[in-house]
Amino acid sequence: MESTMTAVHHEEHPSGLARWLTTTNHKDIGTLYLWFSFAMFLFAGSLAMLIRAELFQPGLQLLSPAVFNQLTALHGLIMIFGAIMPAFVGFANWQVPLMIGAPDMAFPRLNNWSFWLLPAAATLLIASFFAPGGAMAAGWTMYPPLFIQGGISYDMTILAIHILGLSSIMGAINIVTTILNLRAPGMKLMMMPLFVWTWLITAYLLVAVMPVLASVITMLLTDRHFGTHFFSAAGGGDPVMFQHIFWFFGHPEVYIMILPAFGIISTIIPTFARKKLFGYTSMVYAVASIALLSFIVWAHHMFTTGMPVAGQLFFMYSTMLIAIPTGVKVFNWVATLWRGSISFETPMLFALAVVCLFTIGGFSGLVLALVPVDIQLQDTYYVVAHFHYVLFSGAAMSIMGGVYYWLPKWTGHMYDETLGKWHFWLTAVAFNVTFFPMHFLGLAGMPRRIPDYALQFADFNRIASVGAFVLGLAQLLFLYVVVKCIRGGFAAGERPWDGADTLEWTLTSPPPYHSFTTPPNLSK
Amino acid sequence: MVEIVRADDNPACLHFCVTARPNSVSGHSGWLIAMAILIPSCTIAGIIFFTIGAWPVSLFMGLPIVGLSAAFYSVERHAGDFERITLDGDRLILDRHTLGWDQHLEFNSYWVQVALHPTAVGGGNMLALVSHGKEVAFGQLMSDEERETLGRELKRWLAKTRH
Repeated sequence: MESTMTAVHHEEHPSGLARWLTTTNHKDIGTLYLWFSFAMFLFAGSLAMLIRAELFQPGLQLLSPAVFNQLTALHGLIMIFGAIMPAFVGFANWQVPLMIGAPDMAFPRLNNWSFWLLPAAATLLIASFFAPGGAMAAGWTMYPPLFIQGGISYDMTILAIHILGLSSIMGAINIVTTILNLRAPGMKLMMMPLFVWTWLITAYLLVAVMPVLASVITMLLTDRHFGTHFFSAAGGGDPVMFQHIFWFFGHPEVYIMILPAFGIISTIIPTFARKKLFGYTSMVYAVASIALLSFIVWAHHMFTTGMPVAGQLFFMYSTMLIAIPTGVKVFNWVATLWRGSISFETPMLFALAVVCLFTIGGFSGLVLALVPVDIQLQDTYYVVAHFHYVLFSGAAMSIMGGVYYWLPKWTGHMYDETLGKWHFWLTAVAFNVTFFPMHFLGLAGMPRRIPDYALQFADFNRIASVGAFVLGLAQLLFLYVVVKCIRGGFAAGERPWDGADTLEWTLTSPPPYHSFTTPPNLSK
Repeated sequence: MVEIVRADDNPACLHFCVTARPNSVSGHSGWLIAMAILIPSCTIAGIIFFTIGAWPVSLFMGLPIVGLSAAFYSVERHAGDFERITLDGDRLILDRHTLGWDQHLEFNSYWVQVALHPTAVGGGNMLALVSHGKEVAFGQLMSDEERETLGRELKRWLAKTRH
């Protein structure tokens, strides 16, 4: 309806604890997700600091091997399910409705439940450190038979992952329904911002594979307590079957953590290059292709379990095939930069670093896709280096770039650019100091998940540990920059980035509590 | 979340007619697309895992289909909802269609009053038609701003009718 009167926004909402417990507002829930994920990032990061402290020199200094294994397992689990995934869901909550011109998510109450399941699951995981025998120590992959033999903390882990999975599925269903039904009139699918596209495809991946994880951990539970033998060789089961099922979930899970990052990068680069994204349509198809291919590559994680040569070849070639759509994306980002009017604010620095460093992670992935090489490098530090180049410099640094990019919109204030750049350079340099030497360690044969190592690995480990401590401290600077920005700063205005052209920038900064109650009509 | 069609230039409506509908851009086709992608992938994976002895996976693969179907069903149930207010000479007609349930109310446009109240919670507003001691709320598919605007416009049209 054409409004002839001055619109009055109703900004009243509950305050205090009740606001955050009962909120159904997508912005509040997005904020909750982002703070939760940051808290988990710091917690799991502090576990990593302990790991690197132990590995600073050969021998056992600080931790027993049992505790070391608990730290590596929980570091991985919490970073994946507690930090990276919820952070992207936080972005989706904040940005998807704003970018498609919807007033909120399709199911606001379900959204509230999706979030409030997370602290319960996190509590279970963290509390498991205090359970008899300590926390789960079977790695984030939870392989049997080790996992079947553990104590009560293993059951706590199963319950926590069930809760986390339920939260993810509910969130994903909400996002799919929101994107497909609540877009502003006139916004066709191929007009959606790429961030929304990446989230639509990610949500599909989540909906399709989280039940696989739920089922496999249920089978672990029944093997542990109800006399089944799905994975127990002694009872006629097959522990390798666990790996097939787990990685059928696990590899798409990698893309669940990286596709929204692609969406953020595809938003930031055109803004600061002041150009339209090069090859929008090919980007959409590339994301969809990556998602599709992610279902047929799972066994590249299992080349050493023994499989027919035909199987090895199939999974090797299908894995290498993923390089094509990924290459399309990298090419399009570079083509967007070509002859752009580029400026290097903090979000752009993070985006450019992601393009460079994620590409290194992609190339080491190609190396690991080669069966004969993988058989040599399986379970070495080369793999640790590879997935940290994908997940830290790909996913986590995209999240940081995204936070800097949208922080002015979310808070109404500009962040401190100088401190932001300090944060970027400390993070980027320390990250490479930490993880690049791990390629050499892996190539030299240092196995992962060990608290002690041979003397010849000492130098690179010492460098990696120093890098890790700097990397950890740099994130406290990130916390300071964010808090400082929330508390005040220069007013951001509606559109602080002159190249930004998505719908959220048409709103005030911060946006009204209830935004797009009347959808913008894009068909005009 | 409303798409409002203003039809006051429609010859079928003598004076003024406003229809409010929920904004659901994809509707049934969105549901079909969502299912067309999900069902084959879940079914194939379920069958493969069943054949290798991991039958619980097949059961769990049904959950996303049920979950997403329920979500789309819930959205689609409300897709046909609408509220229409028509000022036709001395009659003010309120038509409402909610979850397949139709409501048709007629008021005498000389007697009916338009009231805009603040709501008790949430800081929003409520638009209502008041006549013969009864109050009927409407504009539930509209935003606060749209209710305000419609309320004022309706008052203007009613005043015009009475003179």
